[in-house]
Amino acid sequence: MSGASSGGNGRARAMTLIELAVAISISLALSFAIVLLLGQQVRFYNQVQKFRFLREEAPQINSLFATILNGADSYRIYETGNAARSPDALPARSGTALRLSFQLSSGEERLSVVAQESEGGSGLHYYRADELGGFPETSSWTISRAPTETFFSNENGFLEIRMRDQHGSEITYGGNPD
Amino acid sequence: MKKPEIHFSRGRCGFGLVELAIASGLLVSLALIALKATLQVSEVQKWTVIQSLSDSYLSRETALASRQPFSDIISESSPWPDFPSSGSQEIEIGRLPGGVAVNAVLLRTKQADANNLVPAGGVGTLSSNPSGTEGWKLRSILVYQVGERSYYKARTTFRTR
Repeated sequence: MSGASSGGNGRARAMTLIELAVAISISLALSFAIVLLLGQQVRFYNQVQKFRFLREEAPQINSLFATILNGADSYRIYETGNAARSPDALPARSGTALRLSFQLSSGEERLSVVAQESEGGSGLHYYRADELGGFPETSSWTISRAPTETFFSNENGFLEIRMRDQHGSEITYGGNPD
Repeated sequence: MKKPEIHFSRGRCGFGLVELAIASGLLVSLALIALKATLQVSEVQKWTVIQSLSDSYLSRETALASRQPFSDIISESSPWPDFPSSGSQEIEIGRLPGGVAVNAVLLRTKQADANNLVPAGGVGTLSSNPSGTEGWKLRSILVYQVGERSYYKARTTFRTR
């Protein structure tokens, strides 16, 4: 009779406790390694997502600003979005909103406001005025929700747009739209 | 009829160990490949982000060079000294997640257009430049590092009067 058979009836012998313990240990070690790998991948994914603002959002916002500002005939900076939408507010040298003036082919002036606001969802919003110069209560569309802070400034003689996101990334663009 | 007994030879038992070694080796190889891919993606991302930051900073330089009064550009205290001299300053071009500052060195210099009159740094004459037009190329060069490599990125603005 062989030690590999049981009782000489041809059935394979059962595993010993030591074999089982070894098998379970190896399985646990492999599972632990896989969990570690998965955790590393999740951390890496989160890290990649944190860079998304600088990698994708900010260049797209800048490109959009360039298109909008090149189409505008003039711009003025206001401290807040509410001030920019108010007909009586005075412009400032820096602030969180930009009022744009577009001269239509009919000779009429059409106003728009780009403002960083926290109401109705933090982000950079675009307001388009109606024919009478009145602005809607809610934004016409949202440029991006990625920036948590946006500052427009004209202190160096040209328009600077500084943006920050929730992870502390910061980028500043400059241009001469006029 | 008696059924044949199953025998496990010494070789058969050893083969299990070989299988285990192959499986572990494959797993380690896969982990190493995944790690290498992760590092490569991370490097590429850092490169892309710093390109974005350096482009944004140079957009400000171009705007400043276009807007600076001409009298300031050609004055003794011009931000763009006459070539081969250059002004150098360490600047912050932006911040990465976590507020980590990204620094670079900004070099500025300017060169007269060849057709400028002699007092304006050129070799032009009243016959080649009868109106006395004065042109200057303002160069801003950003020097920054990604990993162990140094990069130079330049923007030139041509100003005339």
